[in-house]
Amino acid sequence: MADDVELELRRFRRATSSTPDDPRRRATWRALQEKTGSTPWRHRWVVGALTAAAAAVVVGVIIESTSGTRLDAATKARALDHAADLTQPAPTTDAATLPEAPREPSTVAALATPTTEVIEAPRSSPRIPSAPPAAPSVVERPEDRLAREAALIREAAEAIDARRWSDARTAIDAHRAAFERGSLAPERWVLDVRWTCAQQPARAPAVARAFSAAYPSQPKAQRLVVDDPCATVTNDRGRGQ
Amino acid sequence: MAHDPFATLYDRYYDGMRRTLRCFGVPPSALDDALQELFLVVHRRLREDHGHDIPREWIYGVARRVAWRLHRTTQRVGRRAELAAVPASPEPPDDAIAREEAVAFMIGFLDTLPDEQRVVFVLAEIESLTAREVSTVVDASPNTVSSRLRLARARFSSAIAARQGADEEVSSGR
Repeated sequence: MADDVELELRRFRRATSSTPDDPRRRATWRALQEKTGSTPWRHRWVVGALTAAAAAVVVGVIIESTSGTRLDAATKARALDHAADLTQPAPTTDAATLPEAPREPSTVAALATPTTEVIEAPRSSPRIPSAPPAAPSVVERPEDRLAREAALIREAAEAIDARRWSDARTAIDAHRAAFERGSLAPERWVLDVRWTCAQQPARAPAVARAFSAAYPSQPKAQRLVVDDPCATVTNDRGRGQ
Repeated sequence: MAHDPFATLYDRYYDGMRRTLRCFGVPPSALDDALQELFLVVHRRLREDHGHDIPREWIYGVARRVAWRLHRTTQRVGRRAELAAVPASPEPPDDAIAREEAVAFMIGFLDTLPDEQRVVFVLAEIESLTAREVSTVVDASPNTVSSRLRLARARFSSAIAARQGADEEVSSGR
């Protein structure tokens, strides 16, 4: 029955996990940027619209002056399309990684008020602004992705070594949420077993079995299932594996 | 890479906070607003603390207060029907169904718990907070937390057993 409980909890956690590209996750982040004074999207679209209009005028003038003929409607439309293409925002990284813009004075003042005010007396219901057109997508470079994975794994390992169990749990969960089947997922599972052995040892066999089910070809996973998982991770740790 | 501490905290806690708010009774239609409210509080604390790390239990404590306030304002508006609803997603139908089932079962179970057991169960079992952290969030002694958790776990086991029994009845055609 303990296995069923663990399985059900994992199912629920998995069902409520998102990827960094999740539209709701990104929309909430954009809304927060607006509310905290960082408004890259709003500024970008205002600037973009003005630039598009200016570019359209320039393209039209150039075409008319060089051809010396009047433009028909279709030609004007093509020129406008071309101008719009020229003024598309440059590809950008994930909104979550954009640096914060300088804050407006009023926002800074608002942020300095006591914390409880926001919880107890919200002045207006926060709303997600209408979504801007989709940003040009940029595929993250594999080395960057691996670096992000490695940072979380290192954070989890260091936290376990330092017996900072809460921090370790948070880093493990963050890695699972962002890199469920990432390159370093097997390392995360081992750390998960170590954490469970330290905090909830009765559950360690269930976690080891889940690891084995997720990575049946991983020798380490099989050893954790066959042997006592806690003794195995402790021994391996001692041997520096 | 983001070195903005707020972005880092957002990445780290987004899933946990969304899940926790929902488990605490915030309906799906109010989740985005609740998340914004919660992260604005986190943002302010981060500024006041000059970017120093924020204890996990403090963030979960904020989630609890935000959920409690929203819960009071939305509980009269067909909350149960809303809780069962899962927004449409672009994933394969089988995966979406499995997610819906997992979420509906858990939320349905949590709805049967008294509030004090519900909060402890969510924090300890789903979010894996330590007993000390849970004690801080709910402002109760570790013994009280353990007692509530034991009761909630027993109910959860019973709920799973009941569902398995029902599944077996259906599959055997009874």
